[in-house]
Amino acid sequence: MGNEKLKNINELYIKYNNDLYNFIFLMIRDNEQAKDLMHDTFLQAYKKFDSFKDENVKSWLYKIARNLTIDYIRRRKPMSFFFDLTDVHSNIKGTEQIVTLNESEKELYLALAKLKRKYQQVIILRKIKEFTIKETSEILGCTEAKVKTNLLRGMKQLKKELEKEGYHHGI
Amino acid sequence: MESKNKVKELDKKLRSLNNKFIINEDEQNRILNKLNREIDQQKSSGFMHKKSWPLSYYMSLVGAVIICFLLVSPQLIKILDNGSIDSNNQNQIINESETFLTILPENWSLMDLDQGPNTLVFSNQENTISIQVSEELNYTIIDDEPTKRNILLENFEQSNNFDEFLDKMIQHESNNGELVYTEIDEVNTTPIFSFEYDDYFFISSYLVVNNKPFYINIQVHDDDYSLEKLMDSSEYELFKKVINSTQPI
Repeated sequence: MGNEKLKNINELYIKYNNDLYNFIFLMIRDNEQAKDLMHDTFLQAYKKFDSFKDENVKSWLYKIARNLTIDYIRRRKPMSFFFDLTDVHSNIKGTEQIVTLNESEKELYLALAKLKRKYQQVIILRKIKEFTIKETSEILGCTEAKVKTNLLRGMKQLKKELEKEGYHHGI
Repeated sequence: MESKNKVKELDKKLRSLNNKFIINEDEQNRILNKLNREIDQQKSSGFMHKKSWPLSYYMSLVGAVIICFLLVSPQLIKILDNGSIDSNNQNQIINESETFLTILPENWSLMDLDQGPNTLVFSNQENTISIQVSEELNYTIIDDEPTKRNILLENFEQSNNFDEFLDKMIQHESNNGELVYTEIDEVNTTPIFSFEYDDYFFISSYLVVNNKPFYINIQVHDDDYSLEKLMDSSEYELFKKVINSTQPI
């Protein structure tokens, strides 16, 4: 029973580890911490495996990852939040990651980082990870209406941020 | 039409960020091995958290608690006389470096967050609310060399009295007044503050007992909680009890 569970978690890890790391990294922009939280997601999944029912397994893992990430964000000291938003450019830990982006992707990534968390989450899940409205609402633990509203507002805000940075290509 | 195309273009660019950030294979394997090791440890320990303590350590901890209890019992008796600790519902607990004592509310559990030996974090059963008690409040100053500083202790040592210490802490935590700190409550003479940032609100308190500073906060991990709802909750009352009961050893 225990070995079967471990086998399942290992299979899920192989399939989704990078996906979840990517999601967490976009939320916190800290390479090392994102790896730790991805690891914690699978550890938590192992612990909760017996209570896992007929959900979509990918959404379930994202839900765990999202909750752990939000917990982590909340546990950071307020000053860390402040540093995060005032100087996104100089505060991205793991900047080696960013060099893999082209210029327009970098602009988009930095603009996304300046949004409120609730907008970031919904844009990452809906637009980057391409979850459905229903799946997004399940992961975030809110209503579909709230997802739609936050997505609309978030996208508006994102365009504004991009325009502020003088980035007009294709928006 | 043009607007629709622009939306499509932005959507496409957003999709391009998917899996741009990946971990290399070696790193993936390292994390998987670590995960499997921790799962194995869990299987063998069963009742404890992921990084379980050896039995000898656990036993010595129990011994230390008893000794500490004897040492601080006059103060505890005084507190119990004042009705500050409901001894039927809460258990006393000490931090890993055995320098302070506080209460762990019934049905709450200790969280293992790698927060270090000078901090305790515990959460309610639903894991929606947590309380943190710490002797330190560290910030990493990013300069040429990242330096870790315990602002709580630094400010305490540089203050002549409690009010001065409080002013320094608020000045620092509010980023020189840029974030609005509001005093919302107090426990005995210790004020409780709140402030909001982004989508979140924070409630914290700075306490000095027997010439030792502590940082205590309560956090909600549920988006549906408002400050008012939290303040009306039984968990908030427990938070106040924790403030009232935290003592250096």
